[in-house]
Amino acid sequence: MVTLKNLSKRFGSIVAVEDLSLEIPEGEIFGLLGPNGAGKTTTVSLAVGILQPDSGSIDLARLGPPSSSNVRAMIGVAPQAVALYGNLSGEENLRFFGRLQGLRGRRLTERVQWALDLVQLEDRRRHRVKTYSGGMKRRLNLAVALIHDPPILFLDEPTVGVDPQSRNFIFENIGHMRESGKTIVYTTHYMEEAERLCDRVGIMDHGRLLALDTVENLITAHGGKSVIVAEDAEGEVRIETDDPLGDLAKLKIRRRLVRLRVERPDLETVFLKLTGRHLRDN
Amino acid sequence: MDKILTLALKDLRLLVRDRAGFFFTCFFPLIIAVLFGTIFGGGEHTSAIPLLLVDEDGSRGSRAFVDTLTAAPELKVLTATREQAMASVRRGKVAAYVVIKPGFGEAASRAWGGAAPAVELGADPARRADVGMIEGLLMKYAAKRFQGMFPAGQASSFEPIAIERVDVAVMHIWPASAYAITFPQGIIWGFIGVTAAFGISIVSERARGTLLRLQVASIGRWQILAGKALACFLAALSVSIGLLALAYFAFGVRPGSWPLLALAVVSSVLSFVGLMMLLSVLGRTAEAASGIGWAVLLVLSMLGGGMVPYFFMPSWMSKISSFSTVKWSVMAMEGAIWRHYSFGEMLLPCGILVGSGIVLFAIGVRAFAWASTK
Repeated sequence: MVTLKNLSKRFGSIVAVEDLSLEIPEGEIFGLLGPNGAGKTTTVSLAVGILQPDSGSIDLARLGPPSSSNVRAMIGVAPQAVALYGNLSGEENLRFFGRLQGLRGRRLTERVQWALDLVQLEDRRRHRVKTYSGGMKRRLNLAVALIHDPPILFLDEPTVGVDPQSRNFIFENIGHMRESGKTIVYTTHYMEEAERLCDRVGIMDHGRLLALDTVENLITAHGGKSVIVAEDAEGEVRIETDDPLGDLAKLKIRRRLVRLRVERPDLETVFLKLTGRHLRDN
Repeated sequence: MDKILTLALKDLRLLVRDRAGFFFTCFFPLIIAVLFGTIFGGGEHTSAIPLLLVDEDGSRGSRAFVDTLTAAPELKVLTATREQAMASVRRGKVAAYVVIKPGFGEAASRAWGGAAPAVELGADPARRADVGMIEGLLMKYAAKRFQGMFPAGQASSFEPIAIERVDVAVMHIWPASAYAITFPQGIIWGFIGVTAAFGISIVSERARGTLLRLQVASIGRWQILAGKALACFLAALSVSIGLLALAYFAFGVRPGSWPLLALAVVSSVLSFVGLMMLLSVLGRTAEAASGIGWAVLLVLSMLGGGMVPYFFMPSWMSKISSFSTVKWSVMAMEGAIWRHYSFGEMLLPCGILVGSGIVLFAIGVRAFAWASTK
């Protein structure tokens, strides 16, 4: 559905994306995880045709590169920064972008209503966007990307600066999109989001794709072993293990434990292993 | 076309909802037109006034008077035939001409008795300040030959020269009022407001991120710019129609030719649309675009007669005013409203306006950076 082959992009001496290849099948939620400046937004910009690659090729929905407006009609983009007209109402923004995508008449009205219901902005539909809270703007930003019901979605850090309630709204919306079979490219620097939402995750840093697989496989391949942290009267013990439950049972027989926890490797651990840095160091 | 119209209507809606932008686009030009119309005629000259001289007498006396006027620092005298002089006034190139009538030399040679030496002053009635000053200067320099012949204060009723005033406009041109002059200037300010607003709006689209959204929509890039140009065109056209309607119904301005006025307005609007496109690429941020845009537009307006009527300008400024869109726009609109230009005479200013609009638009489109550096 989304195929990027050997994409490279430089800005002067800065390598933004280097020899990046991806193949995302239909219906998959694909996460691009990396710190700020890793090249995630540049990758999305190349994929949707805002930037031209220095080399490499892009194919969307097996129709070709996004230079054609027919191909662009197949994609929806929610940019990282909220991109809306503050002096238009939520409904006017949706109508405007819907018309640009070729929607007219009853179909346009239905889609606008659907989008407002999806992001729960029905009661604010006639209010100007500049009066919305940050979370409401984010939700509308997402709704605009969905107005023409595109099969492919690019969501570039859609939860940055969003309150927990709106974040949950967005997660629920993405869940609905998964059910409707959309292909989603989701960029984030929050590993929890990638773990929660994405079928597969690509880890990026300095413009390069360092690893690509399911979360589970990435952790297995790069995360190392789980660690049991046990505390008894004599102090704390850390035990690396491939079988936390089995080893925990043995440990409980041998020692009188006061407290214990199991530290499972996660994507943060994977990123640390791959780059030597924490995701949030950046 | 439907998508271009959608883009344009969105921009017009945003313009109307931006109170400051709407004020400078619609109401500020009206204030300029009414205010300047009311006070028109005042002011002081900052340079020599151009004057065309026609010597129909050819006597020693008339030549001496020509020499006197030519040496006058307040005047920039050029000689011409009567036809050339009249045509120049009618076209607005000079405010007045003076014809030294046959018999001038003979009358001037008589110190006492008989009629005063006569000149004909053909004047553009719209340029009252210039004409009044020329009249005064004619009197002043004609009276020079009598200096010292009267004790102080006794020459007050003495007429050194008979000035027969001929309003050229009576024959060909007659603006109904000063508003016929100031409303075109007001319209220019409307164009300037619209040009600045839309030039900045393109940069704002980039800063707001909506340009990115437009780029990924299923429309061509040319449609995005065409939508912006159409919105600018419609807004400028609406402003000019509104102001002209007000000028017609409330201030009694009666255009000499509606079709030529339509031609002048459309040509001017096209030129300003081109200018808008160029201005939109001069700044990377809305603040920079606003600063650069207004600076450029104010200079063009100052040079072209949008702020100060161009007959008040120093001669060097008058020369470089030809590089200002504003000058040609004022000329075209005045030509249609009260100078009674023929279609042939309208072709020069309108051609320059349309041509400059196309060139500026093409440069702007070519220089437009679709993607930011990151």
